[in-house]
Amino acid sequence: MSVKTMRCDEVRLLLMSLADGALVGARAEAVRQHVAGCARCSEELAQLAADAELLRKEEKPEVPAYLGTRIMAGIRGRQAGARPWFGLSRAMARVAAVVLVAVGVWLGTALARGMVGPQQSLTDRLAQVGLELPNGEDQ
Amino acid sequence: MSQNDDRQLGERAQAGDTSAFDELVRRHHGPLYCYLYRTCRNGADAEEMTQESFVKAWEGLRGFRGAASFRTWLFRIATNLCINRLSRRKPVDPLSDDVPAARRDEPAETYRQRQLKECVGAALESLPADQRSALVLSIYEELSDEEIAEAMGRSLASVNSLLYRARMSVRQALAGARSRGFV
Repeated sequence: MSVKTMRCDEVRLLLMSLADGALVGARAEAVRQHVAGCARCSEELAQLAADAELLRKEEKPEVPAYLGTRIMAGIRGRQAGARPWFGLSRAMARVAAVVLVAVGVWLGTALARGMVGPQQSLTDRLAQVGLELPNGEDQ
Repeated sequence: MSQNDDRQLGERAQAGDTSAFDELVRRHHGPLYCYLYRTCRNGADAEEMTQESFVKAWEGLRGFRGAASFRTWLFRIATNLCINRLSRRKPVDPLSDDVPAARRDEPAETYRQRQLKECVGAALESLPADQRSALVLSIYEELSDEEIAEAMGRSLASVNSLLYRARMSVRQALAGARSRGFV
């Protein structure tokens, strides 16, 4: 935006930023140059600066003692709470717990159905149906 | 304190270095508390939101890319918290024209200062949350318009418009203080 093309209504929006010190760089310079040649905007800037000065008279709030320490204590507490199992994150620990339960259920069911555990020898199973193996073939 | 230092601390904190985040807290908790206090006008709320902002920052460190300064990024988290909270509050009544009398034996100058302080506080409190937030960032935290836009997640034009409306309302409120001779 060049100085020549800036109108009062365009400058007006930026005057308060200039008064607050929030306008920087080329835009600040362009507004300053417009104000230097415009009595109305110059008066407006003086008024805005006076308002800003009044607002700045408000006392700075007192920061509560040990606020920073309490913030860090809270963060360290959450961090510790987030690693309940051998350094795993909470989400990973949940997944591990679900997998363990599922394996336990499957193992229990499999044992009950005889899918897992000591197997009957071939000789015993053939004997149950009245057959027997020739000598030495059940090795 | 420089933005580069903050960026390095932010990178170390992203890698899990708690002591780096500790340093960022030490640097920024005071200004953040003051910003929140001035915006929400309540000490207990400001304290709670300061803590919440840092917890969110710690948990969201992966989202901090270093394109914005750590300060602006932190203020954005806080601004979102604060505006959400203020939007749930009841709107403040317009400024009253009644001027309380001076306290017994109160010197005239003390009375004037007290009235002026109350006028300024009431003028800020009467602003909508987003205008107040923009004005506090501009006047007290001395952020540039671009930084305010980043901290509020708004466009530059929107911030200029917010500041304009805020300043016009404040001027009207302060005109009362001027007409009563408090300024």
